[in-house]
Amino acid sequence: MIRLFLKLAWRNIWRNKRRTLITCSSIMFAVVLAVLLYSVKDGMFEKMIENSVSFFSGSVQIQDSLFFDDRSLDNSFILDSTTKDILVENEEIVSFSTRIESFGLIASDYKTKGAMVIGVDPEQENYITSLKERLIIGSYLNEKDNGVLLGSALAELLSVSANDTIVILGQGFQGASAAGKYPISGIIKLSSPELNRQIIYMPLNLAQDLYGMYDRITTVALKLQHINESENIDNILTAQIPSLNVLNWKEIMPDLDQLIQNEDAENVIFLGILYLLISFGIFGTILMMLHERKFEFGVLNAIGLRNSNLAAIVILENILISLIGSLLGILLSFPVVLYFHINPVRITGDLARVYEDLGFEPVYYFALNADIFINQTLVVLLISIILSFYPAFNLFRLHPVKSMNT
Amino acid sequence: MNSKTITRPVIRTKSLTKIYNGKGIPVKAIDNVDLEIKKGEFTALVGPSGSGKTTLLNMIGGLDQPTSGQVFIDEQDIYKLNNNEIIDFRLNNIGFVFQHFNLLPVLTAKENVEFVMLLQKKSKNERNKIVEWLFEEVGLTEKLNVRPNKLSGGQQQRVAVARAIASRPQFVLADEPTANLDSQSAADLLDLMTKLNKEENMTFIFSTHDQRVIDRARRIITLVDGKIYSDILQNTIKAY
Repeated sequence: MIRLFLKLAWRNIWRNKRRTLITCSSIMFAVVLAVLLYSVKDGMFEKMIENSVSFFSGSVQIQDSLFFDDRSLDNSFILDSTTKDILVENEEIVSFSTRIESFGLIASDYKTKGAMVIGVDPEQENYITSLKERLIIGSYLNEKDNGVLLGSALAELLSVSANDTIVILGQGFQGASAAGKYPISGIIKLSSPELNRQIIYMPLNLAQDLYGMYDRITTVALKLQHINESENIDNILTAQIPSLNVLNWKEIMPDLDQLIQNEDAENVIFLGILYLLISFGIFGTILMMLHERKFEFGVLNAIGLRNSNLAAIVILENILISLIGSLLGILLSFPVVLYFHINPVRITGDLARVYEDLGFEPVYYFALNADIFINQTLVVLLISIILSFYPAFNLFRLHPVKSMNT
Repeated sequence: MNSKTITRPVIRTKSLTKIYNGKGIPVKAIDNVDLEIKKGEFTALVGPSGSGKTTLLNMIGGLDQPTSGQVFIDEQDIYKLNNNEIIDFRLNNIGFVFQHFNLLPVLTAKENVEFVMLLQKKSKNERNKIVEWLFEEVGLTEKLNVRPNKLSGGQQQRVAVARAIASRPQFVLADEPTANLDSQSAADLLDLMTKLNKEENMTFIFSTHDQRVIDRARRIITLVDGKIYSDILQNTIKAY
């Protein structure tokens, strides 16, 4: 029976080719627009997460239980061998890096500025954040010397470059004063403009020396095989290491998570309006079709086709039109998304500066995720099924004689 | 027709009444009609416009609920059935031929005839056998795979007759089947239905104004103001 209904529905939608093509086209353009919008949005945020998580924070961090709320070096800890073993044994954890994360005043001959001072194990950190690849001038950190790396924007602000010297002033462990003079080994350029303006890396032993906190660290940053496993790993490690605070990236950077959620809500409103307009188009087609075929529905009902089956045929027709429109939309948008996925659009000029000020990398990245295409198709199908309720309701109440007398 | 075959009433109405509310004023379209139609009859419902022919036909066909009274088909009170049961009852027991737009334009002649059998879930073999027989009967074997818009009005009505009897119904109701046909097509259609009535003992009930149909009918029921005015058995059938 379903084959009969499908055949009928398929042939019915081509009874008025022009109308069907117009309806399919409107759906197609809606899908294209929605796919492009979501692809850019997802691409931008994926990149932002990647810039922040993969190139700085790590997917998961382990800290002293007080450090997150009070970023004092007094809330540091010594990483014991039991905890190390737990991290090594977990297969999802690719690598981990021990850090001291603090703040300090950075002074050059010309200027002074507040910055984040990160003490890292150079080799381990490179596994986590590929820091070495970010080097644009000079050489990478070396445990054996006392050189530091500066973010390029920070170096610009301080008017310094590689081989110049800076002074770091701050507060060390248990209230000790921290001060040191360090040569600049190199300049790095991070993707996140915000980090680039305020970051300074130094070898962990040098930072421990500066802050007077030998063997102590503030943070262990973890790199996971899959970033979306961070909440799961957070839960596992929290159970295994109850004395320390385990945080996933959403907890480490709640602002970023909130920004993504807000952007999602804005897109839902925009797409809601778009789909509402499309819905009127589909609904118009449904109304015309109902009106034109009223007599025919009456005849079909008279000769033995149940009202529910009539409704099923009309719902199938709407689903087929929506599927054709959605598939055409996917076929049209896929090569566009693929092209811009491979060749991201770099923004220049004033707009680029606006993006940087907002903390975004001024590049339009297009995400190539299957779920973007699938979700848009499902949304259109859902709309068409919801819109089908009207004709379905009418057909459930259809009276053959009244229909044939229309 | 073999008179022995006309035996039991296949349709029986009891005090059948239909009142419409036309602009707030109740109008009796059918007024207390008692009627019996036996298997194998070839009956014409005649009368002036508004006499209630189509209304009576619709109520006999389970298409329009009476205001009061009953319709029995094979002693089944059809208006005691729920909506789905009555649709299934129509599918399996009643064939319909309407005045126009009978066929689904998106299906071929063969598919139109097969349609009701698919709803009846008949096997492909059975469907093919019936389709072959029916298209030979209606003389359209060469038009099996043609869509209705490529058929003449007369051919479309013959396909509609084929569809009406494809489900092997107890009777066929035809509402003004020749109204839109030229003389030759009307004669061909009537020949076909007369043949099916004679050879297959198929029961036909027509509502008609058409004298050509009335002349072929064996029983003529005349309605006036929703009441049976006369009910005549006609022995002589005029040939064309």
